[in-house]
Amino acid sequence: MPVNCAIENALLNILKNKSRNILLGVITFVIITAEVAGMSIYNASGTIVKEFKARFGSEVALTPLKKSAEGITAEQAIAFSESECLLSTDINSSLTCRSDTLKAIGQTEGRSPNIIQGRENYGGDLSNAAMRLRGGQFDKILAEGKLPAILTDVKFWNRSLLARAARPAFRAGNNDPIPSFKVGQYKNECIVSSEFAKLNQLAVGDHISVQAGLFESGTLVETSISLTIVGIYVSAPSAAYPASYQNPNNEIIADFNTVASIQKEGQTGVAVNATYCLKSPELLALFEEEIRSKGLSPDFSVTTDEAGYRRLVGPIENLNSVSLAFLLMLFALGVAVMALVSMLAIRERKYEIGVLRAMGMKKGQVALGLWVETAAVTTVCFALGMLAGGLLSQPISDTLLAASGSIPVSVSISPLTALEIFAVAIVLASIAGFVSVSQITKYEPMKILMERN
Amino acid sequence: MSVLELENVSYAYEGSSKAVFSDVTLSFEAGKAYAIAGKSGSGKSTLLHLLGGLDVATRGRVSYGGESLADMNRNRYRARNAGIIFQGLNLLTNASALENIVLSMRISGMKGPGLKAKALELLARVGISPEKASRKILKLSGGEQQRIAIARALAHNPDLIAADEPTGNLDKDTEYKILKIFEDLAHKEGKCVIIATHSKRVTAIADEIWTVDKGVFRSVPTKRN
Repeated sequence: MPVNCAIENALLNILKNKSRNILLGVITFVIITAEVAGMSIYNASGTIVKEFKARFGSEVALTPLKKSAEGITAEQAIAFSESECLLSTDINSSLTCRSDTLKAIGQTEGRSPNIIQGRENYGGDLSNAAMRLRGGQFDKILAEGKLPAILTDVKFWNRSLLARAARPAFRAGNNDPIPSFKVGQYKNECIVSSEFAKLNQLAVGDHISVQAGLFESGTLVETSISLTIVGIYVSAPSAAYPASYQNPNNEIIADFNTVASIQKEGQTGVAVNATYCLKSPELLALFEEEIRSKGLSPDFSVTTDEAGYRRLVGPIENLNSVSLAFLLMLFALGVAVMALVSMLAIRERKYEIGVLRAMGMKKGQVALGLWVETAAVTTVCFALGMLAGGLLSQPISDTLLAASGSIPVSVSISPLTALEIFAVAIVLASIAGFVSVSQITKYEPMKILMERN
Repeated sequence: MSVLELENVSYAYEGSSKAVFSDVTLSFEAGKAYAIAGKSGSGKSTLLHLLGGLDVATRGRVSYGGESLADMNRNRYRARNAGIIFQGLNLLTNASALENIVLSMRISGMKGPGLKAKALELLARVGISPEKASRKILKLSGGEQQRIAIARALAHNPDLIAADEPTGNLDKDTEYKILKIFEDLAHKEGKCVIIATHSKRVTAIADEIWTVDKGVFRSVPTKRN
């Protein structure tokens, strides 16, 4: 007997057995709708967890345990950053400075003739230092939108950096890619704020000279640094600051090495700030072991802000777990309901199966016919369930995230999700159908008909 | 020449120690009509089920064309070689008369665009009009359903026709017409027709009559003989 006869007969049966198929369809529709909603939320929250982990990592704090603890050197900071455990590193170096030729915004006239004098006059207080020389990673500074506004005048930086920096998207502060920073590329170059440039009548290409205070064997010494201005960024007007060097517009921004290398061996004074982000909080112990072996003093503790990380990622992870549990429960419920309904439907169809077998139809063909019928109903209900589930996913997700105090998540059904749901529906229908059919068709046709009678 | 043979066949229902019949040996030839007569519950239908490949003997051998039914593909046998008319008719009630016939043809492997026409022709032969042929089975009378069951058994042109009380629901005129069909099938078309019946009118067309009582089969003389 040709297989297409069994399939043709099955398709005709869909319309002949309207009531039964509508009942089956409604059940399938409800299950698929719930599956779509559950799976969409599960996938969306899973993606967000991954994105959160990738974006925020887990910040490591290197905290001195005693006041006398020596700071982390620039070499150490760089060595620590070369770890496989890290998602990202942000290193900057800074030191306070003054200038004989430049004025700082908000600088008290006559109060800062000399850092050494100032320190002596004001009991070691360095607040009379006029400016701060900060060495960071230019590309990061720009990419993370740390500058108050766009660069207006960049002469020596490469063109692509200028073009990207000037794009409106960058102005909005998004993470537009910026050419990666290379050590030594910007040696002794700097950028300054427009307010600072205006005050000192500076332009791109000008050379400036600042004096920084460094300690050598407990004595403060001044070191002169010459820099070339390669860019001026538009800055917001300055607010009032207790000390002029605290004003961000007074920061002379150079690259990390320019600032770090001012400090020679045996000197201190350059503050190195490094922020390390782990790929995941679980890597903390491994990272600590690695940086201890690279020379981190026992006077420093190595910790992560796990609570903060959990606060951020936790609600989404919870939603992910809840939706997975919901999916599994639904799957189990779906299997049970579909199995029950199919068994009842096939018991009701025992007579029909008996007749078809008596007419010479093979067991496999009977099963195929019933499967085609169920699959066809399932396919129609799948389409309707996808539609309904898609409409329900977003409000359900919003409610759950609002309850967990997290940000709203955009929920959508990917083709893969749709395929997964369809596979689940077909598997459910097939398992239920085949179990029942195999139970019935193991008998000779006459026994099936007599049992039914 | 024997088409079907039973050699020392016994049958007992599953879970029952009492045999419906034991050690039955019978032989059926092509071109002959056989009547199996006996009281209700004597085992007539069970015998037909064994002959139609719907069930297997507990003991002994039922063979078709020399090959044991127990060893052969009984799906194929039922689809192509045997046409069975059930006492309970066993028609597909959610389908029309025509669909029942066409499906039987297709299960047997018959193909082509002419199946519907052939089915309608067959239905006309048993007295079912094209209008009634398109009706659902449950919208037809008992007599009409019985004639459709007969047409379905003949749909795939089988060598063996096993009929269980095929005229039970028919009026005299229709019974006569149907019996004429059976007679022609045996004598003109060379089929082997085996009919389980209570009716003397049916036994009247038989070439051989077997009575069954308490599981014992006996040959009785026919009017023809």
